[in-house]
Amino acid sequence: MEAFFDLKRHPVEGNPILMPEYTQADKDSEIEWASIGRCIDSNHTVLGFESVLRHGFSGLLAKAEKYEAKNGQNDMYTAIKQVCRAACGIGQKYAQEARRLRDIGDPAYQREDLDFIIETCSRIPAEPARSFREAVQSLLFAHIVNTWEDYINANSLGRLDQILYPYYKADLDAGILTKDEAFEIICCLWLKLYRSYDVQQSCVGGTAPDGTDQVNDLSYMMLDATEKLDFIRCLSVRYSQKTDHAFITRALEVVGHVGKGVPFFFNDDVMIPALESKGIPHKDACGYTQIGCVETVIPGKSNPHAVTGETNLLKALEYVLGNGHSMMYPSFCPGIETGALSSFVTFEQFYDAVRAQMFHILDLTCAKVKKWRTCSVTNSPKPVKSLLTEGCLESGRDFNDGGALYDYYQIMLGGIPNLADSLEVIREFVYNRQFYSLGEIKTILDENFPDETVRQEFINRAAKFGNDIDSVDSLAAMIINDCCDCLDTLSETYGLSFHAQPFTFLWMVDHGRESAASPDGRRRGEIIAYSLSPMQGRDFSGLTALLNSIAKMPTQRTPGTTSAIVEVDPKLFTDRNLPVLTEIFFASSACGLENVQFNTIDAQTLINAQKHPEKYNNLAVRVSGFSQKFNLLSPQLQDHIIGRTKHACL
Amino acid sequence: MSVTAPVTNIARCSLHDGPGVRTVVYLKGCPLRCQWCHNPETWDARPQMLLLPQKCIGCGACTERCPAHRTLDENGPHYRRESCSVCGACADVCTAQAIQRCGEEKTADEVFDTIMRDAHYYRATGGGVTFSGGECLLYPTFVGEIARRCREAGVSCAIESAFAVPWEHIEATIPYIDLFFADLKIPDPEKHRTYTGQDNQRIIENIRRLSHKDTHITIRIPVIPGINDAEEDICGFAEILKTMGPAVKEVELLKYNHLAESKYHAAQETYHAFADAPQSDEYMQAMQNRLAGMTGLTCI
Repeated sequence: MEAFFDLKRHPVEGNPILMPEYTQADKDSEIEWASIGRCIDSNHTVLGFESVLRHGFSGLLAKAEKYEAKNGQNDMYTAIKQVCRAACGIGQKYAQEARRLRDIGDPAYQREDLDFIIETCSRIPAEPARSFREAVQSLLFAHIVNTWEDYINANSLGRLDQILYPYYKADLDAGILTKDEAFEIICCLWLKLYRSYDVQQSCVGGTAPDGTDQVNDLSYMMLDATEKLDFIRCLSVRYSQKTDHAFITRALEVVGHVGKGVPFFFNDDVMIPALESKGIPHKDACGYTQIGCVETVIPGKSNPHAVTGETNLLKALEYVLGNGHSMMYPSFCPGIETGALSSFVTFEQFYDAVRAQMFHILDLTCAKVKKWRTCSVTNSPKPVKSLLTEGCLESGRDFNDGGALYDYYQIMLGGIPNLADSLEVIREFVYNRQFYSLGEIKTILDENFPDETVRQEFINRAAKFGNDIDSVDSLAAMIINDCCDCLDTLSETYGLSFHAQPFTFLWMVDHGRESAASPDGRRRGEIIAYSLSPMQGRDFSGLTALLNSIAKMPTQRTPGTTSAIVEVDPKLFTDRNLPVLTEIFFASSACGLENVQFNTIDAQTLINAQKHPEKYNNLAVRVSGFSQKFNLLSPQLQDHIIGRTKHACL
Repeated sequence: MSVTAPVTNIARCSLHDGPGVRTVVYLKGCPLRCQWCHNPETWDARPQMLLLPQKCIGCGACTERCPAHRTLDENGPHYRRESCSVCGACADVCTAQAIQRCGEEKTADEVFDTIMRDAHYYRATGGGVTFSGGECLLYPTFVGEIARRCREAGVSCAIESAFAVPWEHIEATIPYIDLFFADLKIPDPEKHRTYTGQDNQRIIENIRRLSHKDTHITIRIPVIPGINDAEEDICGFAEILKTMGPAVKEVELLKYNHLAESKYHAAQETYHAFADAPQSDEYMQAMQNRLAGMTGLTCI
């Protein structure tokens, strides 16, 4: 797991894999973590598993042959046909092993179970699934086949309650399945999927294209299974204002009972219009689900290039104060020249320069994505993904060669809360009250706040994001809007569709490490805020104020999803408070809250766990778009989570 | 110019001061001095300095600004309240907010605007605003003005009061208030005086008058171990409750706790601890049952 968090960003010398040519500015900005541009060409998908359930891999093979005949032979079709044949064989191998165990009379197994496995796996996943059991087995096999291609990491499962419901319903009606049996099968699936670092996301609930809510028996059962098994399972809930409040109450109850930050929540009323704004038709937008953490995908129809471009927008401020130069490494000039500090007579002029630097960072990022894309076509053909993604067979083009029906790139916008807080300090102290000049502020930051009273002044005497204060919240909204405008322009420039995603994953640690002190009172090297959560400890006006601040963000423009982790007192999840919490949740969603995740562990427990890890082996917390065992986190991340404001309702 | 009152705090997203999500407005000043009070910073109606040594960064700016009154050592700033004019100069230089001036006058407009920021949560949860303190009914014009505007905006209003105020103050707010929380502290008048500074006659009379109006009253009894939880106290409460009119809908018993201790230090008041351990649920339940049996009222 640790290896994953140390993702190597830079190719080793002599790596045979084709790497893009970077300019000096590209390289400088990477050292600074201002702009990391990769076109993720592995894993991070949700494929069209329904087609495996419906047609089996033998049916898909026939489909591939049909399109090959139509479009002409190429490498992709050859590879896809091989995948189909291999996939048809995976069930046979399981059947063979079951037969062996039956024949030797292994006492660890019941004979009727083995008979059942033999019967199922002899057909599945080559043939279409005929029952709920076969559908679940087929889905798991298809998932395994997908992970053959590029491992488990963030290869996700999608809307399991919707995919499996027709099979469940038919079996119930035919009297060959009970609800208890279905529940046990779901629990088995959950156990099969378990990983200590799990970003194989599944989703329950959601809105149909006609606006009706799609919660069904399985949606509830999957929540129940998550609660019953009490381990981390990456599960999200889609909902809208039309969702039955009882379902959300139940989901929140599971958050409280499991205490591991699952499930988490996505608001269809925001997400669907956001996807439509990027040209995705309503019917398909309604089918969206999540990959891994919070990345949005149209299952079986898109290549979302999740976490593709990664930016630290707080660097824009450094580049303005340094006139293009880094404040971490002053000899570097990764930014652009925006002029001497004395030339910014008004705050508007100052912000214009910040915006220019943000655009520069985004441009570098998108240009790098474009370069990577060219290489990934050659480096990473994906036959499994091409087979199970609409558009590839039809066009004869690989998943990584623009074959998917919807091909877009998610650009992560980091550092927004810190940048907004910092701009508010500059507006207040430099332009409104004239306590400091820009030059004096730069000196203070260069010297990393030599006078603690000044740092306290910057923290306490100017408004901070997360407290429902319009002046600073509107700065955060303006930053996001400007970035969305910029990404629209860059989509034109580079001929690729870029989706804004105000999400940092865990990289707020690295962004922080490489950032100079900032006017929001953040010391040099200190972790920046997680995604759109306020800077840790700077929100102190209560849960409703925090939710109001987040809901003001222009999330209809960020289909990559925002992300906010809200730390709440576990007492809020007691029976007495759950109905009120549910209504708070719906009310803030009506105002535009896009994604929220809850941590329900009090600070004292976390501090104890840090001191006595052996006593808290099963303690898990929401870290980023996923939950993780607290003991497995670095001390720095542990401190970050302890430092986040814990919201109680007085 | 909008009417003003000294406000110590406006707490958003409270779930314990009435139904749903509530914003609680704490006003400064109280005629009583209940020894178990949770808000000692609201006793004196005048502004005062609060000291929060845990926030002190030891910069010494306060001692430079006002050296006659303060010295600084490893425990933070020392402060002599008797020689302080509460000018706030020390708070002005304390960027760490370890010294704060508490009780600024706020206008009704300002407070109303803050309340309305959570209007959508009140609508969704059946919540609203609760005026508390201190004694919020020391400021009936201020409370009445905000409550009137809240009612026009469809926001429900509640009052938490000890009722040790002239009847006219209460009467003026009745048209705008949906729910009154009225404290009954100790049944015996003399014992009441000992622990709160006043006897309870005016309080009981006020609640009784209000209980015959068309409104909703929840009686609250803070159960203080050894002070008002003996059999004779319970009987005394029951006797008083039996004389109340139909507006008294239920009685709520509040557990004693120590959460306010740090506020006493901040406000430089002497803290009285009345018990070591919190009362058990069984103990509270038994008292609720006893009181409900004697009065026929719902006890929670």
